[in-house]
Amino acid sequence: MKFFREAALTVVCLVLGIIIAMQYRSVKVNNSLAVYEQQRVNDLITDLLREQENNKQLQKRIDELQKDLDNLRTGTNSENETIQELKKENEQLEILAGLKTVKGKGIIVTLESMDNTPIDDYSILTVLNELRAADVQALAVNEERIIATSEVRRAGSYMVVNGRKLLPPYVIKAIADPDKLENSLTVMAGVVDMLNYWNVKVDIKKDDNIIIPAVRNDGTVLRYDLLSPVD
Amino acid sequence: MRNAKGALFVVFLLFGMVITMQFRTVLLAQQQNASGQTSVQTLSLELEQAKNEGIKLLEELQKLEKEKDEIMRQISNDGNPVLNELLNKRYELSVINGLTDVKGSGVVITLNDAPARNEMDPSQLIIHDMDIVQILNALRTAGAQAIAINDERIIATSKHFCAGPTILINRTRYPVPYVIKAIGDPEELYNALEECEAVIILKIYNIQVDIRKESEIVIPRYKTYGNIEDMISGLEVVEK
Repeated sequence: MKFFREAALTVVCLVLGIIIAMQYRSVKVNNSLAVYEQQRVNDLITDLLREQENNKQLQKRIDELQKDLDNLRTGTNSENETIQELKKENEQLEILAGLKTVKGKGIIVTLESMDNTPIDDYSILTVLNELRAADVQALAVNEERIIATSEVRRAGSYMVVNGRKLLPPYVIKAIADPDKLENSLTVMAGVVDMLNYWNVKVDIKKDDNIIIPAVRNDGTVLRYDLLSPVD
Repeated sequence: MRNAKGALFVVFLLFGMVITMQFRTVLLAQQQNASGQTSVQTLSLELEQAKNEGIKLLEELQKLEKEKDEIMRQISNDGNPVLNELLNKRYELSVINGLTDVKGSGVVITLNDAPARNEMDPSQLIIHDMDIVQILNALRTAGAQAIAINDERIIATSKHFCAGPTILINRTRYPVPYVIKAIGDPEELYNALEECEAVIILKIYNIQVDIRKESEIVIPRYKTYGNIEDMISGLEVVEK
């Protein structure tokens, strides 16, 4: 009788132990699943908002174009007006292409090595990438305008940008909302922290009158001879 | 003897409580899962719809732009040399700005995440934005004249950053695989990629990397959603 009772007690305790362990694990798994789920929902919401904003802008642009087309078809626009409009459009395209020297609000980031090792191109590329993520409108490294085809390559102790040698310290100028640009670099465990860890001193200065020069237009930087049109 | 009974009582009490708790958590988890599932599903659906609408709008926009171009061409062909010159200039500037579809020879590099393996840190098995940045830089150094990631044209201010297992390029998010196309000298571009440190490291971590030279690559234009004005709103021209 005593034996049976003890055996029963052992079995019950054993089962209880197993159940408690299972319970603990299932709660843990459920929690991590919930976190994942929440993240997925957040991602979807961000994506959805972005797509909706894109569509709104597209619709606005379509309406404008439709109006332009109507004006052109009915001849409301005189040839002179059309010429003026085209001139304006071309100037905008020249600014976008980096063919104009521009001025605006933004930040100046200076990178300087704290030891004797030369700064790597990776450091500069990281900074440029963060600034782009913060909706930058114009970029330059040591007065070399960064365009779509600009490379940043370390060669020994200097840097080559747009095929031109640049010497340290490297001064990166960026035009866009200064606060947004600065925040993109100074977030916790962001670029500035990473560069400091690599012994690169980062100095960030906001400025309301940053001048970024036009790209050299001597045929060495802007090249598109290998691009043929698609009908 | 009384002690044994007491112990038994406590054990069964606990047993009962645990079973109730377990039952309740399971029930709760199922409910949560169900609601989470539906919101993910509805959101995914809405996102899909918004994307499809965006594609349609973009097509319409491009059709209208083409129409406008044609009408302007006609006017200029009717004998307005100034207009004609401006139109030619605009075309050239559009090419420089990546606002036209272009084709040419070059390379295509395809990257896909490594198959998951337990013994490694999963963050090393996926492709990071800086890998992409370094690959683009290698292509630019080798003289690439037009570059696109998953058919998103890369311009001077293009953003491309990692957001979890996906990448945001310009204004759209893409999952793997990432297909990077570049027009330029195929030989030089190919060698630049083979020597690119980021590519070598990705290969070591078993990321699937495929590099091919191609004689005809088509790279689509940069998708302008709004006005050009919005892209240069903070820039004031300095006359020299």
